[in-house]
Amino acid sequence: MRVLCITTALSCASFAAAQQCPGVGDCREVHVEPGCVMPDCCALVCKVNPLCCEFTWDEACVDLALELCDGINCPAIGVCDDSHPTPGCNQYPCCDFICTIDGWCCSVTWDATCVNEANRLCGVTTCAIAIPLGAIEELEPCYDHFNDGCNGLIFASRAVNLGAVYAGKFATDAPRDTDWMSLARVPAGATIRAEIEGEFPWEFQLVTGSCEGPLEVPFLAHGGPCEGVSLIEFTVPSGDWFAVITGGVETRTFRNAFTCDEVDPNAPPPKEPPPPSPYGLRYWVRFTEHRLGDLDGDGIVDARDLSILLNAWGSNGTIADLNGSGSVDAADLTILLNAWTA
Amino acid sequence: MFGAPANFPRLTRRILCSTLLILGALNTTARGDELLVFAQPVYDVMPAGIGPSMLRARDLDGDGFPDLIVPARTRDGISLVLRGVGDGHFAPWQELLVGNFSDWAELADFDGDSVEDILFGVRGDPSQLALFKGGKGGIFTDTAMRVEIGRDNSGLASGDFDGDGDRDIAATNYLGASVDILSNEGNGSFVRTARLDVARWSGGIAYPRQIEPCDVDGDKDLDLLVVLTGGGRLVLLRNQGNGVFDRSREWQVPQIGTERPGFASMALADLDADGDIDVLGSALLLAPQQKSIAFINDGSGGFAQRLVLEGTPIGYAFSVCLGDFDHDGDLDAAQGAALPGLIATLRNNGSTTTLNFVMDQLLGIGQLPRYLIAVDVDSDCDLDIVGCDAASQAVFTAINLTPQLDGCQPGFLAANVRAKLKQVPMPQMIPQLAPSDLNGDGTKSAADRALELAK
Repeated sequence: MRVLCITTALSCASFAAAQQCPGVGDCREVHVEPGCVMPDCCALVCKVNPLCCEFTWDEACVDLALELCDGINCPAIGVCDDSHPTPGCNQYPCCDFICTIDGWCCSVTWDATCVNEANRLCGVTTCAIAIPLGAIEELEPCYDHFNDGCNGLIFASRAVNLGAVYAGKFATDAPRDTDWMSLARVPAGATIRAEIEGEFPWEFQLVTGSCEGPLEVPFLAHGGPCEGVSLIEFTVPSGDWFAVITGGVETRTFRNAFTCDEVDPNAPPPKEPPPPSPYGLRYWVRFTEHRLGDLDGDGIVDARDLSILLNAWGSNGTIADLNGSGSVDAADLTILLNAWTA
Repeated sequence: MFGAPANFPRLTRRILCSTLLILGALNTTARGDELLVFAQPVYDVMPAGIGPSMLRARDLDGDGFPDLIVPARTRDGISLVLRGVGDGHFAPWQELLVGNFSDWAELADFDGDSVEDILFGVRGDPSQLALFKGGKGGIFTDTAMRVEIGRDNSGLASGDFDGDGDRDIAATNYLGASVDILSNEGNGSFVRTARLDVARWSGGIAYPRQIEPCDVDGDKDLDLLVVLTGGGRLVLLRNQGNGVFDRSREWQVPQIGTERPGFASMALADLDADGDIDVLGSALLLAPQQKSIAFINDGSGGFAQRLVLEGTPIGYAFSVCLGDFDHDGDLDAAQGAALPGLIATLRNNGSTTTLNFVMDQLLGIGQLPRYLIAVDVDSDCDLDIVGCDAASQAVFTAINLTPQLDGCQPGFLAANVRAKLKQVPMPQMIPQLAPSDLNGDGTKSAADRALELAK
């Protein structure tokens, strides 16, 4: 550093000025105070024009910021959990992540969608789930696409068997991963219960039709990272039906930021690899046919279900409330005993 | 039939459903075997920096000639109204400050005063609807009404979706891969009632570009058809009758040779004269020979049958319009292609119920005919072709010189003129680098080229 200061007075002044970063005020707006809120942008500008960090952030500083700070967006003016007309928000990690998955939020405006995404996705720490023993791995590296249904060059999906556990990964390397599971072996008209758990904000899609068309997504469900096992119930009419697992929240599906953590032997890593995913990439799912009274989802109504019901006796809002009366009582016990299969 | 000013709306490129059903019923035994002949286009260059992106034709000043509403791309956020002169040219008339780029405008009475207004879809930050109130003599004034819509609007559709008597709006969110439904409060203010995802399953980005209203399934309400330029798909959003729409149903553009074509534009019409509305799309291929795609409606809103038809022999097919250019009772087409900029006139020489396009003429125009309409600009009773080229910052018109076979006197002696037309040499393809994977589907394909051109 000392050497740098000796070299030229200007570079020394520039360095000292940049040390004042970050300041307050939007880097793209004139303001009285020196410096601006984005540390990297502020430093870049003040290295070129130290006056921007010593006196005031004037039009010349704004012009420099617009010229030099392309791609630097965070942190910015405005809180992350409230919409505002300017792009970006004031918490660096949140701003940076949301803008990675949704470029609009840092290039145009921090709108209600950005706020929703921030509330949903920011502040979550990386977590890991326990994959049930005996799970069948998808055998698709996350940089490849062996089971991506209509998103593959050739249609491919994995046919699921009821009761089996399937484990896989999600990643957003183009095209983003969509794991298609064929429900062809599921009896038409059956009520299916899917148990699902993921290390990332997952999206469960029920897709029907053919790639040529018509193709429809009549059902969606979502869950957060490591929130525990979610239960999804749906009925599969006749026809071609697929359960698709990918990443997303209600307002959007994810298309970047969830970087694959495996190395593709056929593609050299880029010189500047993308940052690793802030979330884990693993999930597991199990499909079972749901029978009334089958409280543990093992396909039969037996003593274990009876035990669950008795343990929930008198409670409300549990799965043991089979008639939806609001409490677990004798009427539910009667239903369970009538469905007894053991 | 075609000369009355009040009919101009029906003669625009979109040729709304009711009109086309009438056209379908008018099929006659006189089949057109005369070539379609159009004069070389004439140009009107826009004021500096204004790139026209779409057109709506209407006789706003009552002089018998259609005028143009021109959404535009300009740094100043200005869109235009041009006055039709009657010879194929359009003169500057009104500049409307919409605030940013606009790629679409709807012309209808939005505020309930029985005078047509203009509603612009404004792209960018943030995307908005901008309402300009119609007044006497075709003058429009800014109402200052702005409604924020989704991520980067590229197309609008208007119609009474909820059956309450006023004009509602559907707006595409190009970056958001969704469609916003906005209900009219009756006075030209709008409230968003739904946001509908398209191609939620897709690994790539759908980029919904164009949206059109039409009763596709024959249940007397307006459904919505959407072009997914990123996904290469046609989407149906079926109206339940009260302005609530079902989830999207999607059909892929069929493979042609080894390619899945890009899909940038569509025109709606009863192509097979069976009483329902079909879709004609431009099929953009990386191979030189371009195509058209007809999605044939099965009457219930299903488009399983898709026909591959003729297109321009070179360039990248981008825009399309339909019109009975020779008055033989069936619908012909014009297809616009980019790089080089061309319009191909496609004569329908099929039977009354089958389609077969034959290319009759190639017209050279600027760089990218982004949007085409068929409209009688000179009141001579036949349909001319008007288009816009944002890159060249011009509106152009090709006057129809084709002998008209049924109920319409030719405005020009086409046979004589045709003999004098110079043979236009086949233009050369403009070399292009391979497209980037703009839709993020992992391949570099015609869909990416379509997205490049749509930018």
